[in-house]
Amino acid sequence: MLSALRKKIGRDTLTFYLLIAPWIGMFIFLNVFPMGYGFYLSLTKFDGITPPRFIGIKNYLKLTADYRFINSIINTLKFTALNVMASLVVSFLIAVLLNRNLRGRGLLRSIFFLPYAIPVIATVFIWKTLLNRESGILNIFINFIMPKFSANFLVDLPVFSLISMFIWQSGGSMIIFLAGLQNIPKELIEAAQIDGAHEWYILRKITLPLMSPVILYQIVVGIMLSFGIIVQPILLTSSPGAAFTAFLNQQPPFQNFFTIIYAFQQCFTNQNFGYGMAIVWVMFITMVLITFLFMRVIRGLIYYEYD
Amino acid sequence: MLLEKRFWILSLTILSILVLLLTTVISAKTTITLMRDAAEMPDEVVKKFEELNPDIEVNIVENDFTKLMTMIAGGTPPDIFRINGIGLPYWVRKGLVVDITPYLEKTIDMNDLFLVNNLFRFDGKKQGEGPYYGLVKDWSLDYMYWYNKNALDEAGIAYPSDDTPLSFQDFTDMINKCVVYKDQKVERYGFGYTDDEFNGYFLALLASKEKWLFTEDGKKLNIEDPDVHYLFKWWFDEAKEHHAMHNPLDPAPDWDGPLFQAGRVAIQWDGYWFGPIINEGGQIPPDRFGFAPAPLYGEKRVNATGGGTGYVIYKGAKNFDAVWKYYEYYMLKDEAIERAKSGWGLPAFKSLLKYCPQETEFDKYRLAQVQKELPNQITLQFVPYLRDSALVSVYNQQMEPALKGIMDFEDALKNLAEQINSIIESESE
Repeated sequence: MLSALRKKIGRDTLTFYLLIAPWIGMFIFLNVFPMGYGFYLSLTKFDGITPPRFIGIKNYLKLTADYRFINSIINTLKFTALNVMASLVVSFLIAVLLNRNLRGRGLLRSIFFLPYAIPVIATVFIWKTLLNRESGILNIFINFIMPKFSANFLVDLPVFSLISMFIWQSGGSMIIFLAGLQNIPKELIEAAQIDGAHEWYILRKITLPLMSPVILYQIVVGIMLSFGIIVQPILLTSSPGAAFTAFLNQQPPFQNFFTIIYAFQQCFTNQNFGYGMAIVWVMFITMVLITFLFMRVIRGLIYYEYD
Repeated sequence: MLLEKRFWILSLTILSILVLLLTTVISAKTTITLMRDAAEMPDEVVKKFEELNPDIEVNIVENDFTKLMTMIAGGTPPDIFRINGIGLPYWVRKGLVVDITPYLEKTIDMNDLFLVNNLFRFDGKKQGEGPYYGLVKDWSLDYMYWYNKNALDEAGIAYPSDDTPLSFQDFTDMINKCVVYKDQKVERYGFGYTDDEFNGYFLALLASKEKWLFTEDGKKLNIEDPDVHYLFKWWFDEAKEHHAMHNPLDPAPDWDGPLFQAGRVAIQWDGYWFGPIINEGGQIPPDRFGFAPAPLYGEKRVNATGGGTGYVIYKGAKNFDAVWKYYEYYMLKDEAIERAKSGWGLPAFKSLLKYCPQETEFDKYRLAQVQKELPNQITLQFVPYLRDSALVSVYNQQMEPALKGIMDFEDALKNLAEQINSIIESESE
């Protein structure tokens, strides 16, 4: 059979498909099938215990009148916009600086990358130590200048607390930007410098256009990751005592109440898996639409060296 | 020649696989899956059981509710798992747990069980009656409270009586007077409580007025009742004034134990089980802590267990005999004595009370205080349409904007009730 197939489609083509077959299999098994099953569950009432009961699009209709869902989408969109912009701007600028011929730049690159390697839970606890009102290092530093100052950053500025944590961990983005910067032909930069162009002009007219595909990739990945953030918003303001009970009881501040958190709570707090899956699917479609629209809008600004 | 070589290699491979499978089948042990909390059931306890029962292997899964629900939804639930007794009706209604009454009757003297085990009884309508679906592993009367004598001295408050409960208003005044602010920060909180789940506090307080948190049919949160409304407002106001911990305005930097030991919390609204935390020797010696009876909200003096942590057996457990052996071993036999000796809670059995630690004056005192409260014990009742922790989760979500002044309390309470009622309605369809 194999030899007949080889004769029909060619040896190289067959080899290609055989080599990628395991990935395709895993993709179908680990992505397509769960997504399909999730969509099926979104059309049912399912508590995770009794068999799912088909109810059609009732879950989706319920979402349109669910103010908690609508608020969570707004919060998610706001956070995504701020987080992607802030993290990428900072990581890009750091990458530009570290692309120069600085003494000790290898060490600096490692230092900036290191927070990215720290596990999520450890990062959250570092940030809680930094920003809490009781014993937070930031409050202590500010107290040197303003002795009576006391701010609960985690509670009063939850979005700032969360985004600052992601900016601190933007070492991964920095590395990708750095790789892109190092692919920019040095001759172009040198030619511009010879012609008298200053740094800001070179950044705008050479670096940014040539980096535009990388920036686009980072933005798209940043959007996808921001939509999926669940652990950090909850744990950042959790009480250790309540860890005796479930992670489920923890609630982030309402400004950090994102759609994925709502979906998780619907599934595992309310045992309403069908409704939770509907939320996930609407969130997924929203994310795809935003990404698609964004790519359409800015495609004229993206410079591809090869079409 | 090549063909022959391939034949022998293939044959040997198949033979090896068959031998491996055969030996696996012959030496197969009975495997049971246990979801446990490592702090209360360490590996040594499980290993000891396996040594006593070499034909049984225990597969351990760490206690986690999300994991439990995922395992159940995926059709691979643990055979034994841990729940709070107060939430039992939900599990019974879902048909997930085994009625262990016939097995208990063969093994123990049922009259030896403390009343607290009624939390694990449910007849389909009323919690506290009907068959047993589990037992508590240990327990406390959770609505007694510990007080820091230094904190009360600084506030100029007389110590509460060891015998006569304070009224709820006096209890509130005491909490509020003990709060210490410094530079806009709370240096000492009025009260703390370990379990997030204030359901139990409300249920116990309302029981002293012979009222319930829910409407009579259990289908709605009874916020129209002035006493229920008062408690929600009280809890909210205490949090807003930073008097309580575990609230969205003041996420605690640590759990209550170290904070109470360090004098950061004046009153700790927890029961007997909290004693070892005090005993473990913080900076404040144990004799500087008192242990008072539950405050009185109504006319009737009551006390109860708010959680009643215990273990149940999954209804679809395959190797029930092996599962029951483990259950007996941990819940009914020597391990129950060990738990009583540890002092981390009262035993499920009256006959084991004598094993509770009484070496130090502090241990004698806390046990004596609890025994005085035993006649006031009642069984709290929850609804079968709601998981016991759902109310807390929804409360935290709905009340947070109100605590921050973005929403009115009444609107937030209405939203809370609507969401809870909606969950109950969805469950009861």
